[in-house]
Amino acid sequence: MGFLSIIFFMHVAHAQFVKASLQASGLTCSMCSKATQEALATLPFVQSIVPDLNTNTFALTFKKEVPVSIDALRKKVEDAGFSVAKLVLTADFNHVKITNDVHINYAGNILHFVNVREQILNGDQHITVIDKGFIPEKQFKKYGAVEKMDCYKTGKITGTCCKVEGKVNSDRVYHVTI
Amino acid sequence: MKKIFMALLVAALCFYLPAAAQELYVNTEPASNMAAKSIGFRFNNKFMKTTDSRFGWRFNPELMFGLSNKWMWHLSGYFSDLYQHTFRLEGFSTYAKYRFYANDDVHTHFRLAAYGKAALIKNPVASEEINPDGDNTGLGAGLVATRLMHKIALSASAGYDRAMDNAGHFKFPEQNGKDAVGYTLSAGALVFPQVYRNYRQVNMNVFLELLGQSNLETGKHYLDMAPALQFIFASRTRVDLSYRFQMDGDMQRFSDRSFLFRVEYNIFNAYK
Repeated sequence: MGFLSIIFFMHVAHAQFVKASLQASGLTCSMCSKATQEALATLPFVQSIVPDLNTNTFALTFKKEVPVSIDALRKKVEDAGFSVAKLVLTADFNHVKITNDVHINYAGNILHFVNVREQILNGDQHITVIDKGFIPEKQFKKYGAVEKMDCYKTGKITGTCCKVEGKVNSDRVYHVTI
Repeated sequence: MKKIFMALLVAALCFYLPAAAQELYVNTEPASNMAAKSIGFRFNNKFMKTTDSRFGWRFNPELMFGLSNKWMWHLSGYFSDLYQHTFRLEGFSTYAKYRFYANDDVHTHFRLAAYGKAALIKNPVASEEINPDGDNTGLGAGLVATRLMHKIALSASAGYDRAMDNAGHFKFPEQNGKDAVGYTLSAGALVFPQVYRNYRQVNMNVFLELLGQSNLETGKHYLDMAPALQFIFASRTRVDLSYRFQMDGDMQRFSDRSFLFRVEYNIFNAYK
Protein backbone atom coordinates (compact mmCIF):
# COMPACT_ATOMS: atom_id res chain seq x y z
CA MET A 1 0.00 0.00 0.00
CA GLY A 2 2.93 2.30 0.76
CA PHE A 3 4.18 1.63 -2.75
CA LEU A 4 0.86 2.69 -4.25
CA SER A 5 0.77 5.75 -2.08
CA ILE A 6 4.13 6.91 -3.42
CA ILE A 7 3.03 6.30 -6.99
CA PHE A 8 -0.12 8.32 -6.53
CA PHE A 9 1.52 11.06 -4.49
CA MET A 10 1.11 14.41 -6.16
CA HIS A 11 1.97 17.93 -5.30
CA VAL A 12 -0.52 20.66 -6.12
CA ALA A 13 1.42 23.89 -6.33
CA HIS A 14 0.04 27.34 -5.59
CA ALA A 15 -3.20 25.88 -4.33
CA GLN A 16 -5.21 27.27 -1.44
CA PHE A 17 -8.47 26.40 0.24
CA VAL A 18 -10.99 29.01 -0.83
CA LYS A 19 -13.80 28.52 1.65
CA ALA A 20 -15.41 25.98 3.96
CA SER A 21 -18.72 24.97 5.42
CA LEU A 22 -18.40 23.96 9.06
CA GLN A 23 -21.26 22.42 10.99
CA ALA A 24 -20.87 22.37 14.75
CA SER A 25 -22.64 19.98 17.09
CA GLY A 26 -23.60 20.14 20.74
CA LEU A 27 -24.93 23.69 20.54
CA THR A 28 -28.26 24.54 22.12
CA CYS A 29 -28.74 28.26 21.61
CA SER A 30 -27.68 31.31 19.68
CA MET A 31 -25.32 32.17 22.56
CA CYS A 32 -23.41 28.93 21.84
CA SER A 33 -23.32 29.79 18.12
CA LYS A 34 -22.05 33.26 18.90
CA ALA A 35 -19.27 31.89 21.13
CA THR A 36 -18.25 29.48 18.34
CA GLN A 37 -18.33 32.16 15.65
CA GLU A 38 -16.28 34.58 17.74
CA ALA A 39 -13.72 31.83 18.41
CA LEU A 40 -13.44 31.00 14.68
CA ALA A 41 -13.12 34.70 13.84
CA THR A 42 -9.85 34.90 15.82
CA LEU A 43 -8.10 32.60 13.30
CA PRO A 44 -5.66 34.61 11.15
CA PHE A 45 -6.71 32.91 7.90
CA VAL A 46 -10.45 33.49 8.27
CA GLN A 47 -11.75 36.37 6.17
CA SER A 48 -15.48 36.24 6.91
CA ILE A 49 -18.12 34.03 8.55
CA VAL A 50 -21.80 33.75 7.70
CA PRO A 51 -23.76 31.65 10.22
CA ASP A 52 -26.89 29.60 9.70
CA LEU A 53 -28.22 29.47 13.26
CA ASN A 54 -30.85 26.84 12.49
CA THR A 55 -28.36 24.23 11.33
CA ASN A 56 -25.35 25.58 13.32
CA THR A 57 -23.42 25.77 10.07
CA PHE A 58 -20.80 28.46 9.45
CA ALA A 59 -19.87 29.48 5.92
CA LEU A 60 -16.22 30.51 6.15
CA THR A 61 -14.25 32.42 3.54
CA PHE A 62 -10.45 32.23 3.78
CA LYS A 63 -7.85 34.88 3.09
CA LYS A 64 -5.88 34.21 -0.11
CA GLU A 65 -2.40 34.81 1.29
CA VAL A 66 -2.63 33.09 4.73
CA PRO A 67 -2.23 29.29 4.97
CA VAL A 68 -5.30 27.46 6.27
CA SER A 69 -4.90 25.10 9.24
CA ILE A 70 -7.63 22.45 9.23
CA ASP A 71 -6.86 21.38 12.81
CA ALA A 72 -7.03 24.97 14.06
CA LEU A 73 -10.65 25.13 12.87
CA ARG A 74 -11.50 22.03 14.90
CA LYS A 75 -9.63 23.30 17.96
CA LYS A 76 -11.55 26.60 17.98
CA VAL A 77 -14.90 24.78 17.89
CA GLU A 78 -13.77 22.44 20.68
CA ASP A 79 -12.52 25.35 22.79
CA ALA A 80 -15.94 26.94 22.49
CA GLY A 81 -17.24 23.75 24.15
CA PHE A 82 -18.60 21.97 21.09
CA SER A 83 -17.56 19.57 18.31
CA VAL A 84 -17.24 19.61 14.55
CA ALA A 85 -20.02 17.56 12.97
CA LYS A 86 -19.07 18.26 9.36
CA LEU A 87 -16.30 20.18 7.61
CA VAL A 88 -16.50 20.59 3.85
CA LEU A 89 -13.57 22.46 2.30
CA THR A 90 -13.71 24.02 -1.14
CA ALA A 91 -10.41 23.48 -2.95
CA ASP A 92 -9.33 24.36 -6.45
CA PHE A 93 -7.79 21.55 -8.53
CA ASN A 94 -6.16 21.49 -11.94
CA HIS A 95 -6.26 18.03 -13.53
CA VAL A 96 -5.49 15.97 -10.43
CA LYS A 97 -6.13 12.24 -10.64
CA ILE A 98 -7.45 10.62 -7.47
CA THR A 99 -8.46 7.17 -6.39
CA ASN A 100 -8.73 5.36 -3.08
CA ASP A 101 -5.71 5.92 -0.78
CA VAL A 102 -4.10 8.47 -3.07
CA HIS A 103 -2.14 11.21 -1.27
CA ILE A 104 -2.03 14.81 -2.34
CA ASN A 105 -0.01 17.64 -0.88
CA TYR A 106 -2.52 20.44 -1.10
CA ALA A 107 -1.36 23.84 0.13
CA GLY A 108 1.01 22.14 2.59
CA ASN A 109 -1.63 19.69 3.87
CA ILE A 110 -1.35 15.98 3.11
CA LEU A 111 -4.79 14.81 1.97
CA HIS A 112 -5.45 11.07 1.95
CA PHE A 113 -8.50 10.24 -0.20
CA VAL A 114 -10.86 7.61 1.20
CA ASN A 115 -13.95 5.98 -0.28
CA VAL A 116 -13.71 7.72 -3.67
CA ARG A 117 -14.04 6.47 -7.23
CA GLU A 118 -11.17 6.97 -9.66
CA GLN A 119 -11.57 10.40 -11.20
CA ILE A 120 -9.78 13.53 -12.38
CA LEU A 121 -10.44 16.66 -10.34
CA ASN A 122 -10.77 20.00 -12.06
CA GLY A 123 -11.90 23.37 -10.71
CA ASP A 124 -13.55 23.93 -7.31
CA GLN A 125 -14.25 20.67 -5.48
CA HIS A 126 -15.94 20.07 -2.14
CA ILE A 127 -13.92 17.73 0.01
CA THR A 128 -15.17 16.47 3.36
CA VAL A 129 -12.74 15.82 6.22
CA ILE A 130 -13.53 12.47 7.87
CA ASP A 131 -10.84 12.35 10.56
CA LYS A 132 -11.58 11.87 14.26
CA GLY A 133 -12.99 15.09 15.68
CA PHE A 134 -14.33 16.25 12.30
CA ILE A 135 -17.35 13.94 12.20
CA PRO A 136 -19.53 12.40 14.93
CA GLU A 137 -17.99 9.40 16.72
CA LYS A 138 -20.51 6.99 15.16
CA GLN A 139 -19.56 8.03 11.62
CA PHE A 140 -15.86 7.82 12.46
CA LYS A 141 -16.36 4.19 13.50
CA LYS A 142 -18.25 3.48 10.26
CA TYR A 143 -15.40 4.87 8.14
CA GLY A 144 -12.94 2.99 10.35
CA ALA A 145 -14.57 -0.26 9.24
CA VAL A 146 -13.85 0.67 5.59
CA GLU A 147 -10.47 2.36 5.97
CA LYS A 148 -8.29 -0.08 7.90
CA MET A 149 -5.00 1.81 7.64
CA ASP A 150 -3.38 2.88 10.93
CA CYS A 151 -3.09 6.47 9.80
CA TYR A 152 -6.88 6.79 9.85
CA LYS A 153 -6.99 6.00 13.57
CA THR A 154 -4.22 8.45 14.48
CA GLY A 155 -4.36 11.07 11.71
CA LYS A 156 -0.56 10.76 11.56
CA ILE A 157 1.79 9.35 8.92
CA THR A 158 3.00 5.98 10.15
CA GLY A 159 5.57 3.45 8.95
CA THR A 160 3.11 1.03 7.39
CA CYS A 161 1.14 3.50 5.33
CA CYS A 162 1.13 7.00 3.97
CA LYS A 163 4.74 7.16 2.83
CA VAL A 164 4.87 10.69 1.52
CA GLU A 165 7.82 12.35 -0.12
CA GLY A 166 9.43 14.95 2.14
CA LYS A 167 7.24 13.99 5.11
CA VAL A 168 8.24 11.96 8.13
CA ASN A 169 6.35 9.61 10.42
CA SER A 170 4.09 11.46 12.86
CA ASP A 171 3.38 14.30 10.40
CA ARG A 172 -0.31 15.14 10.07
CA VAL A 173 -2.35 13.48 7.35
CA TYR A 174 -5.98 14.49 6.77
CA HIS A 175 -8.37 11.84 5.52
CA VAL A 176 -10.90 13.26 3.09
CA THR A 177 -13.62 12.09 0.78
CA ILE A 178 -15.68 13.59 -2.02
CA MET B 1 -52.81 24.65 45.76
CA LYS B 2 -49.44 23.00 45.24
CA LYS B 3 -51.08 19.90 43.76
CA ILE B 4 -53.15 21.99 41.33
CA PHE B 5 -50.01 23.87 40.27
CA MET B 6 -48.15 20.58 39.73
CA ALA B 7 -50.99 19.09 37.70
CA LEU B 8 -51.16 22.19 35.50
CA LEU B 9 -47.42 22.14 35.00
CA VAL B 10 -47.35 18.48 34.00
CA ALA B 11 -50.32 19.02 31.65
CA ALA B 12 -48.65 22.05 30.06
CA LEU B 13 -45.41 20.10 29.53
CA CYS B 14 -47.29 17.20 27.92
CA PHE B 15 -49.11 19.41 25.40
CA TYR B 16 -46.29 21.82 24.74
CA LEU B 17 -44.02 21.00 21.80
CA PRO B 18 -40.63 22.62 22.29
CA ALA B 19 -38.61 23.99 19.37
CA ALA B 20 -35.36 22.47 20.62
CA ALA B 21 -33.57 21.28 23.72
CA GLN B 22 -31.92 23.71 26.09
CA GLU B 23 -29.37 23.01 28.80
CA LEU B 24 -28.55 26.44 30.24
CA TYR B 25 -30.19 25.41 33.51
CA VAL B 26 -31.08 28.07 36.02
CA ASN B 27 -30.78 26.28 39.39
CA THR B 28 -28.12 23.72 38.45
CA GLU B 29 -25.02 23.50 36.26
CA PRO B 30 -25.00 21.23 33.19
CA ALA B 31 -22.05 18.93 32.43
CA SER B 32 -21.22 21.23 29.51
CA ASN B 33 -18.79 24.06 30.06
CA MET B 34 -18.61 27.67 29.01
CA ALA B 35 -16.35 28.56 26.07
CA ALA B 36 -12.61 28.47 26.72
CA LYS B 37 -11.07 31.94 27.16
CA SER B 38 -14.43 33.48 28.00
CA ILE B 39 -15.38 35.38 31.13
CA GLY B 40 -18.92 35.49 32.49
CA PHE B 41 -20.42 37.84 35.05
CA ARG B 42 -23.42 36.70 37.02
CA PHE B 43 -25.53 38.82 39.33
CA ASN B 44 -27.67 36.43 41.34
CA ASN B 45 -30.44 37.81 43.52
CA LYS B 46 -32.42 35.54 45.83
CA PHE B 47 -35.46 36.77 47.67
CA MET B 48 -37.03 34.90 50.59
CA LYS B 49 -38.93 35.40 53.79
CA THR B 50 -36.70 35.72 56.86
CA THR B 51 -37.33 34.10 60.24
CA ASP B 52 -38.66 37.43 61.55
CA SER B 53 -41.06 37.63 58.56
CA ARG B 54 -39.20 40.28 56.59
CA PHE B 55 -38.65 40.14 52.84
CA GLY B 56 -34.96 39.22 52.67
CA TRP B 57 -32.51 39.64 49.80
CA ARG B 58 -29.26 37.79 49.07
CA PHE B 59 -27.04 39.32 46.41
CA ASN B 60 -24.44 36.93 44.99
CA PRO B 61 -22.11 38.31 42.32
CA GLU B 62 -20.25 35.54 40.50
CA LEU B 63 -17.22 35.62 38.20
CA MET B 64 -16.89 32.69 35.77
CA PHE B 65 -13.83 31.69 33.76
CA GLY B 66 -13.64 29.23 30.87
CA LEU B 67 -10.10 28.00 31.46
CA SER B 68 -10.14 25.43 28.66
CA ASN B 69 -12.76 23.38 26.89
CA LYS B 70 -12.67 20.99 29.86
CA TRP B 71 -12.18 23.23 32.91
CA MET B 72 -14.23 26.10 34.24
CA TRP B 73 -13.96 28.04 37.46
CA HIS B 74 -16.35 30.26 39.46
CA LEU B 75 -15.69 32.76 42.24
CA SER B 76 -18.64 34.00 44.28
CA GLY B 77 -19.34 36.59 46.93
CA TYR B 78 -22.43 36.67 49.15
CA PHE B 79 -24.16 39.71 50.62
CA SER B 80 -27.50 39.73 52.40
CA ASP B 81 -29.80 41.11 55.05
CA LEU B 82 -31.20 37.64 55.85
CA TYR B 83 -29.60 37.23 59.29
CA GLN B 84 -29.69 40.88 60.37
CA HIS B 85 -31.47 44.04 59.34
CA THR B 86 -28.48 45.57 57.60
CA PHE B 87 -26.96 44.40 54.33
CA ARG B 88 -23.47 42.92 54.78
CA LEU B 89 -20.86 40.59 53.29
CA GLU B 90 -21.52 36.98 54.33
CA GLY B 91 -18.64 35.18 52.65
CA PHE B 92 -17.18 33.63 49.52
CA SER B 93 -17.22 30.41 47.57
CA THR B 94 -15.29 28.84 44.74
CA TYR B 95 -16.44 26.17 42.31
CA ALA B 96 -14.57 24.22 39.63
CA LYS B 97 -15.95 21.84 37.05
CA TYR B 98 -14.12 19.36 34.84
CA ARG B 99 -15.90 17.93 31.79
CA PHE B 100 -14.31 14.53 31.30
CA TYR B 101 -16.55 13.01 28.65
CA ALA B 102 -18.39 14.38 25.62
CA ASN B 103 -20.05 12.55 22.77
CA ASP B 104 -21.56 15.11 20.40
CA ASP B 105 -23.84 14.57 17.45
CA VAL B 106 -25.71 17.29 15.57
CA HIS B 107 -28.91 17.24 17.62
CA THR B 108 -27.93 15.02 20.52
CA HIS B 109 -25.08 14.82 22.96
CA PHE B 110 -24.08 13.18 26.20
CA ARG B 111 -21.60 14.76 28.58
CA LEU B 112 -20.19 13.96 32.00
CA ALA B 113 -18.48 16.29 34.43
CA ALA B 114 -17.13 16.32 37.97
CA TYR B 115 -17.22 19.35 40.25
CA GLY B 116 -15.85 20.56 43.54
CA LYS B 117 -16.94 23.44 45.70
CA ALA B 118 -15.65 25.20 48.81
CA ALA B 119 -17.41 27.93 50.78
CA LEU B 120 -16.36 30.19 53.64
CA ILE B 121 -19.40 31.83 55.25
CA LYS B 122 -19.82 34.01 58.33
CA ASN B 123 -23.43 33.54 59.44
CA PRO B 124 -25.17 31.91 62.42
CA VAL B 125 -26.24 28.33 61.59
CA ALA B 126 -30.01 28.65 61.54
CA SER B 127 -31.03 25.72 59.34
CA GLU B 128 -30.65 21.95 59.12
CA GLU B 129 -30.16 22.30 55.39
CA ILE B 130 -26.50 22.41 54.32
CA ASN B 131 -26.26 25.27 51.83
CA PRO B 132 -22.78 26.40 50.77
CA ASP B 133 -24.43 29.17 48.72
CA GLY B 134 -24.44 31.67 51.53
CA ASP B 135 -25.47 29.77 54.66
CA ASN B 136 -22.73 27.24 55.45
CA THR B 137 -18.97 26.96 55.38
CA GLY B 138 -18.20 23.62 53.81
CA LEU B 139 -16.96 21.45 50.99
CA GLY B 140 -18.81 19.65 48.25
CA ALA B 141 -18.09 17.42 45.28
CA GLY B 142 -20.17 15.53 42.77
CA LEU B 143 -20.92 14.31 39.27
CA VAL B 144 -23.17 15.73 36.55
CA ALA B 145 -24.55 13.94 33.51
CA THR B 146 -26.29 15.90 30.75
CA ARG B 147 -28.13 14.31 27.85
CA LEU B 148 -29.34 16.47 24.99
CA MET B 149 -32.07 14.88 22.93
CA HIS B 150 -33.84 16.36 19.95
CA LYS B 151 -36.43 18.38 21.82
CA ILE B 152 -35.40 18.26 25.44
CA ALA B 153 -32.20 18.38 27.49
CA LEU B 154 -32.04 16.36 30.70
CA SER B 155 -29.40 16.71 33.37
CA ALA B 156 -28.89 14.86 36.62
CA SER B 157 -26.38 15.42 39.38
CA ALA B 158 -25.44 13.75 42.62
CA GLY B 159 -23.05 15.19 45.14
CA TYR B 160 -21.73 15.06 48.65
CA ASP B 161 -21.76 18.08 50.97
CA ARG B 162 -19.87 18.43 54.23
CA ALA B 163 -20.68 21.29 56.57
CA MET B 164 -18.03 22.80 58.81
CA ASP B 165 -18.12 25.43 61.52
CA ASN B 166 -19.03 28.81 60.08
CA ALA B 167 -16.60 31.68 60.32
CA GLY B 168 -17.07 34.12 63.20
CA HIS B 169 -17.16 31.37 65.87
CA PHE B 170 -20.55 30.13 64.66
CA LYS B 171 -20.27 26.41 65.43
CA PHE B 172 -22.07 23.86 63.30
CA PRO B 173 -24.39 21.99 65.74
CA GLU B 174 -23.33 18.30 66.01
CA GLN B 175 -26.95 17.12 66.12
CA ASN B 176 -27.64 18.65 62.66
CA GLY B 177 -25.41 16.08 60.94
CA LYS B 178 -22.40 17.37 58.99
CA ASP B 179 -22.76 15.08 55.97
CA ALA B 180 -25.41 15.22 53.29
CA VAL B 181 -26.01 14.06 49.76
CA GLY B 182 -27.59 16.35 47.21
CA TYR B 183 -29.29 15.36 43.99
CA THR B 184 -30.87 17.26 41.12
CA LEU B 185 -32.83 16.51 37.98
CA SER B 186 -33.34 19.22 35.36
CA ALA B 187 -35.17 19.46 32.06
CA GLY B 188 -35.00 22.34 29.62
CA ALA B 189 -36.37 23.39 26.26
CA LEU B 190 -36.28 26.32 23.86
CA VAL B 191 -39.66 27.99 23.32
CA PHE B 192 -38.72 30.62 20.77
CA PRO B 193 -37.52 31.48 18.26
CA GLN B 194 -38.90 28.48 16.37
CA VAL B 195 -36.73 29.59 13.44
CA TYR B 196 -33.54 31.60 13.93
CA ARG B 197 -32.87 34.65 11.79
CA ASN B 198 -29.99 36.41 13.52
CA TYR B 199 -28.06 36.83 16.78
CA ARG B 200 -30.23 39.75 17.90
CA GLN B 201 -33.39 37.68 18.29
CA VAL B 202 -34.52 37.17 21.86
CA ASN B 203 -34.43 33.49 22.92
CA MET B 204 -36.88 32.20 25.50
CA ASN B 205 -36.28 28.95 27.35
CA VAL B 206 -38.24 27.07 30.00
CA PHE B 207 -36.91 24.74 32.67
CA LEU B 208 -38.25 22.46 35.32
CA GLU B 209 -35.85 21.38 38.02
CA LEU B 210 -35.98 19.13 41.09
CA LEU B 211 -33.46 19.72 43.86
CA GLY B 212 -33.10 17.51 46.90
CA GLN B 213 -30.89 16.91 49.89
CA SER B 214 -30.73 14.08 52.43
CA ASN B 215 -28.70 14.30 55.59
CA LEU B 216 -26.62 11.15 55.99
CA GLU B 217 -26.60 11.32 59.79
CA THR B 218 -30.10 12.47 60.73
CA GLY B 219 -31.93 11.03 57.71
CA LYS B 220 -33.85 14.29 57.29
CA HIS B 221 -34.48 15.47 53.77
CA TYR B 222 -36.14 17.96 51.44
CA LEU B 223 -37.20 17.92 47.81
CA ASP B 224 -37.78 21.20 45.98
CA MET B 225 -39.28 21.97 42.62
CA ALA B 226 -38.10 25.00 40.66
CA PRO B 227 -39.76 26.02 37.40
CA ALA B 228 -37.73 28.67 35.58
CA LEU B 229 -37.95 31.03 32.67
CA GLN B 230 -34.96 32.37 30.75
CA PHE B 231 -34.44 35.11 28.20
CA ILE B 232 -31.28 35.55 26.14
CA PHE B 233 -30.70 38.97 24.60
CA ALA B 234 -28.35 39.58 21.66
CA SER B 235 -26.87 36.06 22.20
CA ARG B 236 -24.79 37.47 25.05
CA THR B 237 -26.93 38.55 28.01
CA ARG B 238 -29.00 36.05 29.94
CA VAL B 239 -31.86 36.84 32.32
CA ASP B 240 -33.17 34.03 34.55
CA LEU B 241 -36.28 33.94 36.71
CA SER B 242 -37.15 31.04 38.97
CA TYR B 243 -39.48 30.21 41.81
CA ARG B 244 -38.26 27.39 44.06
CA PHE B 245 -40.53 25.70 46.57
CA GLN B 246 -40.48 22.63 48.79
CA MET B 247 -42.62 19.69 47.70
CA ASP B 248 -41.63 17.32 50.43
CA GLY B 249 -39.35 17.33 53.45
CA ASP B 250 -38.83 17.19 57.20
CA MET B 251 -35.82 19.48 57.58
CA GLN B 252 -36.00 22.69 59.49
CA ARG B 253 -34.94 25.21 56.83
CA PHE B 254 -34.28 28.95 56.76
CA SER B 255 -36.92 29.26 54.08
CA ASP B 256 -38.74 26.60 52.08
CA ARG B 257 -39.40 28.90 49.14
CA SER B 258 -37.41 31.53 47.30
CA PHE B 259 -37.43 33.59 44.15
CA LEU B 260 -34.35 33.94 41.94
CA PHE B 261 -33.57 36.80 39.57
CA ARG B 262 -30.27 36.57 37.69
CA VAL B 263 -28.53 38.59 35.03
CA GLU B 264 -25.55 37.03 33.25
CA TYR B 265 -23.24 38.65 30.74
CA ASN B 266 -20.58 36.81 28.74
CA ILE B 267 -17.44 38.04 27.02
CA PHE B 268 -16.03 35.53 24.52
CA ASN B 269 -12.26 35.44 23.74
CA ALA B 270 -11.72 37.65 26.79
CA TYR B 271 -8.07 36.64 27.10
CA LYS B 272 -5.34 34.91 25.08
